[in-house]
Amino acid sequence: MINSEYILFAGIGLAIIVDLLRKELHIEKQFYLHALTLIILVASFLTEIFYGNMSIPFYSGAQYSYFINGFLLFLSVVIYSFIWADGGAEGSTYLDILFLLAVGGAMLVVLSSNLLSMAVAIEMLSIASYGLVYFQKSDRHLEAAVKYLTTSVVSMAILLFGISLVFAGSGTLSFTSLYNINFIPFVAGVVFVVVGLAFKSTLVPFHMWAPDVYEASDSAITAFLSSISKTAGLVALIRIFFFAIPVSHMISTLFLGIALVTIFFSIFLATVQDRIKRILAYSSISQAGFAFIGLGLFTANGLFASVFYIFSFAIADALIFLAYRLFEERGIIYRKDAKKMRSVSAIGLAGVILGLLSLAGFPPTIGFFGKLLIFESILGSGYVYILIALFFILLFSTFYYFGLLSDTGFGQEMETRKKLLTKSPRMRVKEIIVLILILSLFAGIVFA
Amino acid sequence: MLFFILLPAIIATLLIPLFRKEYSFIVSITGTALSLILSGYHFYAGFGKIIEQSYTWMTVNGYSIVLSTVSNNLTLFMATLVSFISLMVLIFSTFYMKKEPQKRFYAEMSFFIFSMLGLVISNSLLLFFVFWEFIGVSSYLLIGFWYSKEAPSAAGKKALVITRIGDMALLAAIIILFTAVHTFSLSSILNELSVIPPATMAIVSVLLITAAFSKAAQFPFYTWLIDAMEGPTPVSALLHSATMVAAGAYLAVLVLPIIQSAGMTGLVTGFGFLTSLIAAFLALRERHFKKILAYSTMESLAFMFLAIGTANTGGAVFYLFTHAVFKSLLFFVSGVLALSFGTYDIYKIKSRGSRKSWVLIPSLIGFLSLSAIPPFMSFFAHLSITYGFNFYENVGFVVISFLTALFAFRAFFIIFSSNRSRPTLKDPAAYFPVYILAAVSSVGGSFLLFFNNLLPIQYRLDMFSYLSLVAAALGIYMALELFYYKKASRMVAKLYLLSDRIANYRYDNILLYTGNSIVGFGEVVAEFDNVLARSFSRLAASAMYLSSKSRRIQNGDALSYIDAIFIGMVALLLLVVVML
Amino acid sequence: MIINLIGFLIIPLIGIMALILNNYTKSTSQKNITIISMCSTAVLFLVGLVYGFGGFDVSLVQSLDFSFSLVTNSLSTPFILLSVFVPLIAIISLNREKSESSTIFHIFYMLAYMSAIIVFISGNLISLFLFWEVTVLSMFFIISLFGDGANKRSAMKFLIFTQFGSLTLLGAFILVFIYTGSFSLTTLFATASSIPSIVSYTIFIFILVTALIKMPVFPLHEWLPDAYLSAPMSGTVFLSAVMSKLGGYILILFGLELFPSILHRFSIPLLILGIIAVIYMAFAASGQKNLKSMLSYSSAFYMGLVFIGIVSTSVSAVTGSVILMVSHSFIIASLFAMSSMLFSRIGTHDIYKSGGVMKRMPVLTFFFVFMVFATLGVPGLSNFVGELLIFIGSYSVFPFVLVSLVGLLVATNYYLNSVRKIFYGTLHSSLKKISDISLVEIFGLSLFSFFVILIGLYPSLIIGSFGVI
Repeated sequence: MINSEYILFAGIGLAIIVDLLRKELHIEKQFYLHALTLIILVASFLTEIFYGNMSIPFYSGAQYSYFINGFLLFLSVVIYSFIWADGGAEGSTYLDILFLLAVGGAMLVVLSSNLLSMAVAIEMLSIASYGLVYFQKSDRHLEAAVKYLTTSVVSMAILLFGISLVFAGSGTLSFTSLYNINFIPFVAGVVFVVVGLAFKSTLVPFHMWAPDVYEASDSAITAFLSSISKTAGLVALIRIFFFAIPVSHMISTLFLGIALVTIFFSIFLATVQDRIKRILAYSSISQAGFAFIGLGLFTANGLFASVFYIFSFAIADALIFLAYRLFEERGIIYRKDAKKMRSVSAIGLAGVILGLLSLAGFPPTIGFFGKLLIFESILGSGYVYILIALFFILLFSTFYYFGLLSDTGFGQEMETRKKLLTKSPRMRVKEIIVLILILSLFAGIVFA
Repeated sequence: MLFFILLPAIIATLLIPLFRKEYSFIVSITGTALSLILSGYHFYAGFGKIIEQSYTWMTVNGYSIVLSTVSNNLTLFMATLVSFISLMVLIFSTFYMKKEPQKRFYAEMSFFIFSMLGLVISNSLLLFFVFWEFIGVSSYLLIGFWYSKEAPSAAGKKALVITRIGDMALLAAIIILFTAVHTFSLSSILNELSVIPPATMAIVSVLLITAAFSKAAQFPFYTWLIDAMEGPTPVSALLHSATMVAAGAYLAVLVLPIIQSAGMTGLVTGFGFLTSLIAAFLALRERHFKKILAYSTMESLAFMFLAIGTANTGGAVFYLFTHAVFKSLLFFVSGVLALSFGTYDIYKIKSRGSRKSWVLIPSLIGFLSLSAIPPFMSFFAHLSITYGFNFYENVGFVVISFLTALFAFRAFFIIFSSNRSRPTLKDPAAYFPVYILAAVSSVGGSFLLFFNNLLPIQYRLDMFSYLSLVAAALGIYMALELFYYKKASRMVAKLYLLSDRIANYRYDNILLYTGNSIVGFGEVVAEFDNVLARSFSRLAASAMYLSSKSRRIQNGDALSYIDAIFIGMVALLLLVVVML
Repeated sequence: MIINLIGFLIIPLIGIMALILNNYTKSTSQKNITIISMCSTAVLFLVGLVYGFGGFDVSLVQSLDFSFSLVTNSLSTPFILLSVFVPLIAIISLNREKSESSTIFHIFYMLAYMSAIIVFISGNLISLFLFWEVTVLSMFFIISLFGDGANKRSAMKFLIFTQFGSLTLLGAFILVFIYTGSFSLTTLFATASSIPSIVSYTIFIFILVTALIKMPVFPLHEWLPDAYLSAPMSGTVFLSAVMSKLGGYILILFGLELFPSILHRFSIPLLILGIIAVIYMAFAASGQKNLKSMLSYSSAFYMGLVFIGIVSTSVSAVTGSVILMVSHSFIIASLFAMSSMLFSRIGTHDIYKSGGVMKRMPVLTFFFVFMVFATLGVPGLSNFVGELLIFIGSYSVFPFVLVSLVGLLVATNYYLNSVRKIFYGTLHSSLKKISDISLVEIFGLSLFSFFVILIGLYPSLIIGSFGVI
């Protein structure tokens, strides 16, 4: 049976071997390695599409994981091609392998049906991510990587401790048999597990690392962290709480509380940021909060909404960070610089604008349908008050989304037109990648 | 088809912009003359018949909203009267308005004539309201004809705002009546009065009386009429004495059964007396010729309301007719004098010398008419007005007759008392209408004898009629003594003082105060709204401030992030424990 | 030859494409393209009125019941009329705007134009909401990018308020979907009775909030003064003439036709609110010293009357409300257009800083006074019919609505005052050189007047074109 994961892991092995051989044979060109990585990712993605089931059925074991892995692979292909086109991969020898490992780890998180294997998968994703953050080897990246590493190690320790407590409480770690439990250690264990995973999914108050790391990393890597890595964290939570642990009303309340706090806090902080990338980072955090609401409802609709929402914001986040990469290299860092965007790249600007609209939940982007499903599941469970609270906080979020949008000043008459920079072929390729993501921002609606 | 009599006027309105300005008066006069001929023909052909015609304007919710006209003696008489007076005024305008931008003037006049004719033939209250509004609008435009001067434009605005109080009252009354009987047709409404509850009836009558009073410039609303004299004199003659203001009385005539069944006739009479007293006193001290005439118009309209208040519609209509004739005459005279001497101030006219003017005799006829001296027509009208009066009303009326004659002949004697003389302008367009109207005023009283065929009318020559006559004669004599021979100047001074005192209590000031306070209130509300709007921005700003404070939590120190993780973890654990 | 409603989407989209292409080729001015495509839309509408409209339906997302479906419902025709013609005539007559040459402006204007039409003919709640949001978005950018004064702040405020209204609308739609399982308008009307009463109350309140914000009616109107004042004139015209009608449309369609019994129950309190709103707006307008903000408040005043008509639930009053919306749309658009013409010549919106303009601009004065009378409800012009029907209908529900006639009185005062201050009196020495409006502007204003007179004389044309339950 052909399976995308097999292909991916076989590919990782192959890549390591090729890398070794390359050193042995003294081939300085890394082109082959990059091409191989991309081929592995594409092949894996195609397998997923052709042999997987891309619809999202509920409660049918791990069926929905095809969908998640599918879009994870899609995003990986896009992000990797962008990194390659960007030239970031040139100086490094280990980027390809790290990237493949990280993607593999994320996919394993989605697939795992045992707490231990899940912990291992997350560890694999995390360790690869530290490397990715530091792959350009500048001081800024080093600081980010260290910050990420230190905080992440703590959270991983908490996660493992939690898993051990769960084991103490139930005597098993398999998702299918976690119902026979001893209460106290089990509950404590669950709380620790939540904390560990919430770190990865950047839920407040375990999100603190995210703005700093997002901002300091290369934007393409930020795109990876905020889409693929965060997806893995959220899906792990879904896996555990939907398919393994018996949930109670209490957990639901707790989760909704965490989600609301996340949304409120991140949106409040996003409003006062000056640096564009930091705004985007906080916005990304708030998106996780929204996705978490769907999870916290513990209904079939909620799960579906949550999965779709993760999908929608992962695409939008990937798009917006990649598009922002086009501007970052021209020194557009602060909000007040945003008006120069038009002169750098129209497609990039379109990417930023549409990405922002999607994150803000404006139709007809995919973000709107994500929010629609979330709202629907909230109302379906009867939480009208939560909905109204969300209305208000969404209004607050329009401050920064639309403030940023009008800062970009895309409507201003183009006296800057003449100064439009000549574009390198490389820029063209990057723009095309952004364009693909823009299209998928609309095409993704079919999965709703 | 009754509405044919409207067509010439409205067609003239629309055609005037197409013609050269020198010809605009021809179009207008032709239109009005055609209207006069048509209404005369209808009067002749339809005499004694009642024909209603209706047109369904729209149908909503199963109710038809119908516009209907009625042709009966009253409406046809009114139509003929209106078109006759309008024709006279338009002819006079060719004299008075020679130097003005004529297109706009004649277009607006034709539009007014169209609206006034439409008003008098309406049967449906809705149609009545339509033309009622048109009249208000054309009055606004015509008063403010000299837009570049401050006073006329202010007067026009004031006139429309105040009459619009009545318009809104009328609209409210129409709506209330429609809700009660589901029809706009006046004849049907009057047939179904019994189904309307008394309270509704009372409200409707008050509203209708308000509407009539505001249009007819009665007591609480009268100030606009005095200011309206800023407009051109033909406009004052046509709108502000003969027709438009009379529309208020005409409305009261039409809806009298409603007022009667609500028992509000006393209100009408009471305000009528009040208005006539105030008007007579205020006219005594006025120096502006047209404003004296305006006060007398107010008073005359009050007479009509006195007749209406005593359920004497025939008398009211007859007085409306006589008043229209002699008051237009007087306005024409004032126009001729003003053009000749360049002022409306009666003392200035006197000092510039008007003794030998050709208008002396017509104006004497006019003032005698105004003072109800036989054989001039107003005397006969007074016989008919007083028919329904009781003792007190009769006594009051005698007093008012005295005052009327006094202020009328004060004006007359002052104007024509100087021996100096300067030539007055003489123009066929001026003396033709003046002489015609003077002739009608002199012999028109005889209409009373066969007016009964037209409308039921009763009159009586009793003791009080003689008393009134004596009072009027006394008034004329006093005016002669006081203002022509200038005897007893102390008494004159006292008289002036008295009316000055009344003037100080003029409703005008209260109105001004009310107007100012409304505007002030508007400013307060606007300011409040501004504050309200800003408060939302403040709210947003304070939230921003809060966020910027909370920003400090994120200080970039990895260790404190780890602290946060632990704090969060402990908090979660505690929460779980509490919730368990 | 039945006109398919998809034409209302396709023709403006072609127009937008042409705008983008023309941005590079520069073969003609962007404004011409906008006018041509709007004219084509108008022709399409007129042909459709004669031959009938065909529906359009394509299902996009099964699970959400999201289909792109366009159908005319019993209410749409008058609303399409106003949304097709008013922006067109406005853009014809406003030819001295600074935003004139901008491609982006025209694209957003076309987008707003198109989506407002589509909202009125959407047969699916999601597509309705989708285009509803596009209008909001386009207006946000028009204000934020092309406005003057505190445009960024005003745009943000506008967005925050209307966005809240949109969210409540979305909430209402989702609740409807949860309980009827469909976003389709036709299914919705068939199954609305199956919604439990507490839920339908919630839906109703959501819809009400949306309408109150959008129209806007008194307690939720705070965005109005800023947004109307800061927007470029064509934006203000669109806001007052089309956007505010979206609120009325939604209130009739969902508040009245979907939950008549609830509206009926709340009728009296809402009428009281309406009366307060009307009086408040009338006084607020009378306190303005700026012509543009006076017109803005006056616009809100008339929307208050519309609100009264709708919440009275009486058929005549609702009919009157629709007529008033159509008529007010033409009238306020022309008044705003004229204030812009005036502004471009005398350089101020301040009522007290100009005077005697009539001497130099008799034609403009004629149109202005004409429209003032139209807006004051002089019979024979369109507003009168609407006001009359509203008062007739709502009086039988709640007699005290006649109090709002006081508002009309106040309106008479401030309108005539502004006419007097601006046009009458002695000519300001600084205004000696101004010229009267051009032929194009006269043409635009005549078109507005044509509709005002047409509706005023033959209201049956509008009344016959729609039905209220």
